[in-house]
Amino acid sequence: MSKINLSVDIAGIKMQNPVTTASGTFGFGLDYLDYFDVNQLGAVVTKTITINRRMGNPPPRIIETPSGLLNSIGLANPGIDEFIQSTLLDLEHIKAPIIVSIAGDTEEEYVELAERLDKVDKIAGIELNVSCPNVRMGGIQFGVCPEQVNRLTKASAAATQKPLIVKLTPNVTDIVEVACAAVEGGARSLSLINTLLGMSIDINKRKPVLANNVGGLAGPAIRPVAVRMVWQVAQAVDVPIIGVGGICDYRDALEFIMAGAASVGVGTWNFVNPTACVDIIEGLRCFCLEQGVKDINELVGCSWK
Amino acid sequence: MGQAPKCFLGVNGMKANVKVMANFRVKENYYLMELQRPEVAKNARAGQFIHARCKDSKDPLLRRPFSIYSLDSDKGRIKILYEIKGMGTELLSKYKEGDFLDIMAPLGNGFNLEGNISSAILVGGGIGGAPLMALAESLKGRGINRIYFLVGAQSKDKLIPTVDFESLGVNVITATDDGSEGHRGYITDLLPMKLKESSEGCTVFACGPRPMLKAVAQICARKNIPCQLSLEEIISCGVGACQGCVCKVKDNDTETYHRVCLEGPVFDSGEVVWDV
Repeated sequence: MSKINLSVDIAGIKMQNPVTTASGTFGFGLDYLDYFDVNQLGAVVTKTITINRRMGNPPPRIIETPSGLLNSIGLANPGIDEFIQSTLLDLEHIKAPIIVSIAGDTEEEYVELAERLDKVDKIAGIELNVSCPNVRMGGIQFGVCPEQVNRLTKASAAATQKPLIVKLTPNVTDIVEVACAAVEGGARSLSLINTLLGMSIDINKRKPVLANNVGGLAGPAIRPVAVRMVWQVAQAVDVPIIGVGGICDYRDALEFIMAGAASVGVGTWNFVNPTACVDIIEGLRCFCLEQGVKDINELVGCSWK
Repeated sequence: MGQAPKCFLGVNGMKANVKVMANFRVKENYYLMELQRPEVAKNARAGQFIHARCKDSKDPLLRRPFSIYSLDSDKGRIKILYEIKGMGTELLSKYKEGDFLDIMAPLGNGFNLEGNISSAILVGGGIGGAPLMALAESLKGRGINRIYFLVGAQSKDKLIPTVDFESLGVNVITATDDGSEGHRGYITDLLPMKLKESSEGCTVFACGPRPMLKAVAQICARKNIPCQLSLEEIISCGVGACQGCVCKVKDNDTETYHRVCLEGPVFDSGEVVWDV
């Protein structure tokens, strides 16, 4: 079994396996210490950090839908100062590469965040969240416009030497266009997809369930959409892709890998099965063993190559 | 550099498939489930909860939180009292003795029993009465014998079973909105009178619908009686990662959101901000 290579290289970030945590579903990697050794992960992708501390949106913030979770958290986070001064110290114990997700209200904020994180050795890469559907400024308003994504990526890439990953929103007409704009702007990897904009109404109260009215749909319900988008984007760009969207087990992970993702992010399913990530790593290993695959990289994009 | 991790690295430390020892209907839509889980029975506190995967499925997707109803450390068993309300609880009611249930437990902070408590008034609305049974057991175990359980519901059939409280020697007082049992009206109508009778060291503990908790908090604030509230929320991850289950609290001079699953579900009534 030891002969099988599961390690992947995402824009220079060496991961011992392709499995990461989707931003916003794993806190800063400390909430699951009771459940498994997070150092088994390919990488940890943190909750999105902003310049200032954000309380997040008022509750209710979540509602379950068929095979899905509709959420509007609103980028609740301690802000960059506390993250660097305090949270990072707790992350000293995590040896897996740490990718920090960032979002800003303005281009200047993205640049400032990238500059500040650039100086932190502990951080392996930066993920630009240009796709959060739950905040008024920043987030998705950038992510739906190829020119904005291009400009924002260029500016952020100029501010850091670290690998820059751009997280794309599915709430666009043509995700390939946005993906290409990000790569042209200097994205060294793409992560897709963020949540799909959705809504649920309480028929007894005759009002939207979520206080923010709308939210992002995540979970198994969105997986086919995500697989399709990875498949499209992978054929159009030459940077590695982190495939995210409703992954629950190694079979789901393999769908993304075969669609063209070099790495996969597990999100909502962490909430259901806190050991999902390690179960998937083991499942991938067994699959490769059974199928005679010596290197998982052989499978990347094999559905269209 | 850095602080030690808040918990040592364990493997599946708090998630387990546990054996169902009993699962039966107590009355109407109320069911009682008994689980064999010595680690939890020994270490859990009243007010903490278990996070159960009612079915190995994608729909329902999320786990469902159930507060602990009773802890038996000698037998290594825990009980939950639950009400069939939707898909998750419906599925849970189908479990048979000998089946295994996937749970994460114990989660949350639990009631704070430190300090000078000489008597306790427990206020429960609907299924919110469930964690107050484990609390009554704990209080009894600490030699606190003057315990009142004020329990309310819309109607007689929606009142949680109170026989276990009575067996423990708790004074049970009921109220129903329609007057089909006990006082006609809200259970909180009866709280001021009970507080008047109470003496130094009386603490109020409440769990139930938000309007009831708000009323309890206001009554206790007026009389300057310490009060702890266990909040009900939709809980997704149960460990603080997703930030989905927040409630607004006062933190020094500012307002912030705390996670019901991690910093809660029990809050000091003075902390909670009632604007939503």
